[in-house]
Amino acid sequence: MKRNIKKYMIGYLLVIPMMLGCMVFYAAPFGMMVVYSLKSSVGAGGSFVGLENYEKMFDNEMFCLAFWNTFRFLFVGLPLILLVSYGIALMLKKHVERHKLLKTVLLFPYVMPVVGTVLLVEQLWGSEGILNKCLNILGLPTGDWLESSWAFAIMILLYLWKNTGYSVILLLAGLMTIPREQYAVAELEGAGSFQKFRYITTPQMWYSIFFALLFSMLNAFKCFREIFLIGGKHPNTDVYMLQHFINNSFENLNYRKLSVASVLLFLVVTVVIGIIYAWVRRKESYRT
Amino acid sequence: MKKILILMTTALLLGICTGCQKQEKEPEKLTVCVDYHFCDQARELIDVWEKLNEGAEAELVVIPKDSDTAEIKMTEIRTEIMSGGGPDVFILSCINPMSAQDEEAEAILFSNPEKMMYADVFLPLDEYMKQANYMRPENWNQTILEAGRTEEGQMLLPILYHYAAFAFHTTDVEGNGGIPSSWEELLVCENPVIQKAMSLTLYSKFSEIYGRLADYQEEKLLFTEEELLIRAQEAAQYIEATYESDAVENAPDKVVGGAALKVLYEYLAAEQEDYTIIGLPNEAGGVTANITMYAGINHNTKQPEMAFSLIDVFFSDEFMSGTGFRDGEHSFGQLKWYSWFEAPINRQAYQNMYSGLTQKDMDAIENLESKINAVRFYSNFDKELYNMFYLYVRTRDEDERKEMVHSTYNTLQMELSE
Repeated sequence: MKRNIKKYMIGYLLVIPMMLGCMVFYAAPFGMMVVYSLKSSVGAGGSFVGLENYEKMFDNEMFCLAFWNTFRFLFVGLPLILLVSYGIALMLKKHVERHKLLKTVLLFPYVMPVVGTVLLVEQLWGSEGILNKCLNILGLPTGDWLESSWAFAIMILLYLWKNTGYSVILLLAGLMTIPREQYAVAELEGAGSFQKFRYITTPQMWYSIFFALLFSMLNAFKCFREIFLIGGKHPNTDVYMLQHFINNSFENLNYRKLSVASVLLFLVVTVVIGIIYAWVRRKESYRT
Repeated sequence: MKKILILMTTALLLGICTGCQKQEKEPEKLTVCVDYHFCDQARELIDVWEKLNEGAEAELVVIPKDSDTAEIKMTEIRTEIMSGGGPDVFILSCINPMSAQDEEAEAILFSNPEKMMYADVFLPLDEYMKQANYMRPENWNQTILEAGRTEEGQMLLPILYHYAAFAFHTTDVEGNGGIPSSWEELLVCENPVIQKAMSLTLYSKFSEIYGRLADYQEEKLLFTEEELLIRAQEAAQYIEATYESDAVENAPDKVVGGAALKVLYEYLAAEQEDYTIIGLPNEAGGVTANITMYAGINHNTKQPEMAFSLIDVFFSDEFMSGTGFRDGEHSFGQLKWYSWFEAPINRQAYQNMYSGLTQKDMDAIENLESKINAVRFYSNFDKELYNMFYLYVRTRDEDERKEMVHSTYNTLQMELSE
């Protein structure tokens, strides 16, 4: 018993510095932000106004637009990236052990500097870009694609190109943990490819898919850097994201909007992740 | 294990104790945030203030000219303000819409001061102004002063303002349908002298066709996208028509005016001929003035009285008009610091600056300024409208023009809502 306590103590001691860092730099400021979001102003004169700031925020057209665009980006981007990367991971499963460089190559777009990515996008879809030059040669109408509603599709494409490799690596790691014997037995029993995929692979991949989803979501929020560098502070309305709203509210020193938007974003992300996690836990419950 | 625990606890307690040690309290210096081009004058102001307030000390926080370093500095200041600190006093310029392609446009801490007045950034000044030692707000242009006020009180004090004004020989503008007093009247005015002057000015002053651009309290633009398109079409057609007209081409130039108000005042002070002053009329039948420089106090300041005393000195007749303060035989704080483009809010400063201005000149200026029915702080809104109209008049494709207006209107809405 005493040895057990000692063992746990060491564990807690090792975790304390990181937890303290999280408390001081994340949890405490976030707590302050929640308080700010319920007050009329930040200073000593600020009074408690309840949910008034939240009500006002839902009347704010641009916040609603930013929220909708971010939701749309995640709603379209996440399933797409999971489907594409899962497909690629399944295809690469057999080859990954033979070609050791494969995983490194998959990560190239992910580690490419943002400036390089932005330049590439400009070269391809800018008003003087390759697409317009090709359309010109073919005698078709050209356009400023990055300033039109096409910008959304281009950003989704950019997101997929940049982050699919990373998700593939995460999913491959999950696939590699499934024992080969299970497939061998299934083959002996006469199972086809689809049946193996459905009854062996997928049930054991939920945690990996969950983590791939989690990181894809984080990467989707990181994609804001590219969107910002391409479209600026105020891009086309189709790619005006919550981060634009939050970032610009910071520049305008608007505490209330900044804090309300951040709290709402946190709530939505937490609820969505929570629901997915609960679902995955239920799916994986047979294993524990 | 016990030793490690004891060692860690001791280190933690030591750290806490060192952090909690009572530090000797030094008198805090006032921090004054200024733009790079007002830096020298601000030093002079601080010297004068320190002389008038024994023991008081202040230091400058200067926003650099270079846009990259300015951005770093401004982010630092914004973060300080957000965390309850920041400079005590702000003496800042508004954005210059015409420097849109210049890096100067990037080195602006508050791109929309009027919007900032509703964001709890500034301290209401009414109580302090009542007890001021040097400033005499009753002698200022009240219409301009009012622009710095919200329901909570006087948040900002405008320092300089500007409006488009022209002086014409009266004989050139008499007849021909009279002098236009609104945008609609200007559109149908057939006086080639006025048409020539106004069409040239419209390029850079398109946004001044409007009075107020937005209701910052309600976060609503005061014009629709369709109205913006109509105004842009009207202004562009006006410019095109005057360029094509021989009568306009052969018409005599306006005497003086447009951008440089100082030139106008100096002209008035020297010229003896009979003249008529006209402003660029807005759609509400008056003239729109824009504040180009303002002062305010940080809501977070720990020394509001001290901060206000510096502003008090700055707005005094002595400093504003450059006559300086008397110290026995000597004077100090004699500073001529206005640019060529603006007028000071302090009316006394006019007369002190341009000693040649007669009562007739002053009346003419008063008469024109009485037509000011809208006062704004130059902001990123003006910059957006300027950029849009600059491209609009150079584009012939109507669809492209509509797209420009649409995109600008969206950007304005975004900026207003953030």
